Amino acid sequence: MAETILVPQEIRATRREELRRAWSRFRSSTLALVGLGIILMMAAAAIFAPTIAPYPQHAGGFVDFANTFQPPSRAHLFGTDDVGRDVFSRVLFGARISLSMGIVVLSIALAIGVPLGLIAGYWSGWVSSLIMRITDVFLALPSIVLALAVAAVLKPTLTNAMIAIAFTWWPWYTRLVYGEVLSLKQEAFVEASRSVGAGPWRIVFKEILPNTWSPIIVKLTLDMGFVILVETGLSFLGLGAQPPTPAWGTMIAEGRIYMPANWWLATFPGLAIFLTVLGFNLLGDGLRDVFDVQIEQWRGGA
Amino acid sequence: MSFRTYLLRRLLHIIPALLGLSILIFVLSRVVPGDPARLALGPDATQEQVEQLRREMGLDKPLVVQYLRYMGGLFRGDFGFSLRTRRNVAQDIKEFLPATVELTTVAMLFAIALGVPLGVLSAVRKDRPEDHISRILALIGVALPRFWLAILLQLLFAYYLGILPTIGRGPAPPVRLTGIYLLDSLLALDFRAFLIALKHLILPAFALSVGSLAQIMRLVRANMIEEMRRDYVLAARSYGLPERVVIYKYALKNAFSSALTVIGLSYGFLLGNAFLVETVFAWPGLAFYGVDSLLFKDLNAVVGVTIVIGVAFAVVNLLVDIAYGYLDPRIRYET
Repeated sequence: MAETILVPQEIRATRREELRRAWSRFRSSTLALVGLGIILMMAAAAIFAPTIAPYPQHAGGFVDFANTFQPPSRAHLFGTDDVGRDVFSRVLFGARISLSMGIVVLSIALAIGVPLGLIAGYWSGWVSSLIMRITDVFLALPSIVLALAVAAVLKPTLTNAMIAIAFTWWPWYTRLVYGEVLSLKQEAFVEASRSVGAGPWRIVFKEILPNTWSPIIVKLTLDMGFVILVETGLSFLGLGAQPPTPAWGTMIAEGRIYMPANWWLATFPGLAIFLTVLGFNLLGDGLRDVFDVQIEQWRGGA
Repeated sequence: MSFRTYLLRRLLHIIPALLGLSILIFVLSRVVPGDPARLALGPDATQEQVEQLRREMGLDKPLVVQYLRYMGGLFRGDFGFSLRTRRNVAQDIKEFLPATVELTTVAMLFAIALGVPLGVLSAVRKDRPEDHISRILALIGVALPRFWLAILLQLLFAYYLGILPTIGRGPAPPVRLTGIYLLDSLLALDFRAFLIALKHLILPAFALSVGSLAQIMRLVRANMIEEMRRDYVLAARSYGLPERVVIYKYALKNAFSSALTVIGLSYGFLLGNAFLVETVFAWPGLAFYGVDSLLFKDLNAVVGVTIVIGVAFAVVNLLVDIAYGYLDPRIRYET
């Protein structure tokens, strides 16, 4: 076992070398870099929305009846809406909602899905088959449909939409981790730590879990896009954020009423969704090549 | 394991999953805050009226009894009473399901009819402009929010160009046999009605199909590239078979059968996104009905729609498995 004879500095040096190689592989892919660029841009928009937005006060329930339905111009890059709010400012604030939504949903999915996958994969018996049968139940329905049903039962708010999506999302991580653990537990390093007397929890969390991170990171990146698609879909149907919240899906639903004359109302928030999802997909594809992992990216309904 | 045992095993997996799904959705629908009876009767109803409706709907019984009654009803074709349409949900589903079947099937056909040739083209012309263009289109297709694309298509083709209808399915063909307008009009040999139905389908079906189209294209491309490197392709070429035959008769056959499972899974995308696309196009299908029921908190309808969608998803995947087994008899089924 190479690990046992490496001193900490050496381990750090190898890790740094690995990271350097991974980065140079990543850098050679133009598309992955474009993806990273888009994500950084969106993250900046989300973080600095109050300073970048030309009219930060338009993010909420603001009215200016003198300026309704202005087409895109220098003063209003994306035009103004039915009550005179600047669409560009609202789209910037929308980035906050979609990105934080994605992060929270996936954190919950990870927190539930990963431990369950570890347990189901490492131990065999009725608990692990029960866990896997439960994931079957959740995956029997396209995720957006299940999320819709859950969201409908709750009051239509952004938080509830978040709960609904997280509720449908964790089984994917259980399945992913389960598959990884099944193959990892046959590996020599697990056998080795078992032979020196490591207990099962130690093996699962200290030996196996760190080796499942690369597929998890790739999946998280790709899933950010999918979660945003589902979230904007729920908001669009009126089951997520409610007006005057500047959520992209809600803005499209509101703007659609004033089509075809005021095309900019629904077009720009949609463009923002598209770009963000595209960015995460490109970045995810790039990371998949860097880490060289194969994961089934099959969404039930996103 | 034989193919038959494999299918049986799949069925044994699907049935508990669907039962579990029914329990999950049912319990969810009953823990809803707010009284469905009160919701149905409105704020003007008296407390007695509400109590009476609660008793009629069986809402005063324990949850287990309610569930067993509901499931018993399902097998007799009784999906419970819809508070919104004021009739049995089964009747509603029967009315709205064909439109969704039609829309998702046509969308899937679009996805296959465009995705497979684009994937082949991309693989055969790997790293040439055609390949780059198809790959970029595939990346865009996966990332497009379907409901937004639907709105843009509406704007462009219906409002600005005025060449396709904006919403709905158009007039129903004179005879209703299946409820699927394309089929009904064909069976009645009414080609005018067929064309009208088709015109109404183009935009929603295309908007719905882009994601699956892109996924199928990516997969066929990847599989084709792998197949084209194999010895049998080299052998076929060395016999002097025309390239067209080598590509379509040999390589594509193998590439497509392994892409097939993905088509089943991708049907889930279509069903899920139908909820958004049907809403944009006011397409009178099950998903549109489902969204209205969700917003109205019409719980029997919500449970009914989700169960029907779960069953549809399972059936399509099973059919794909069967097709896969026939197309690729080499496949081994592991436990």
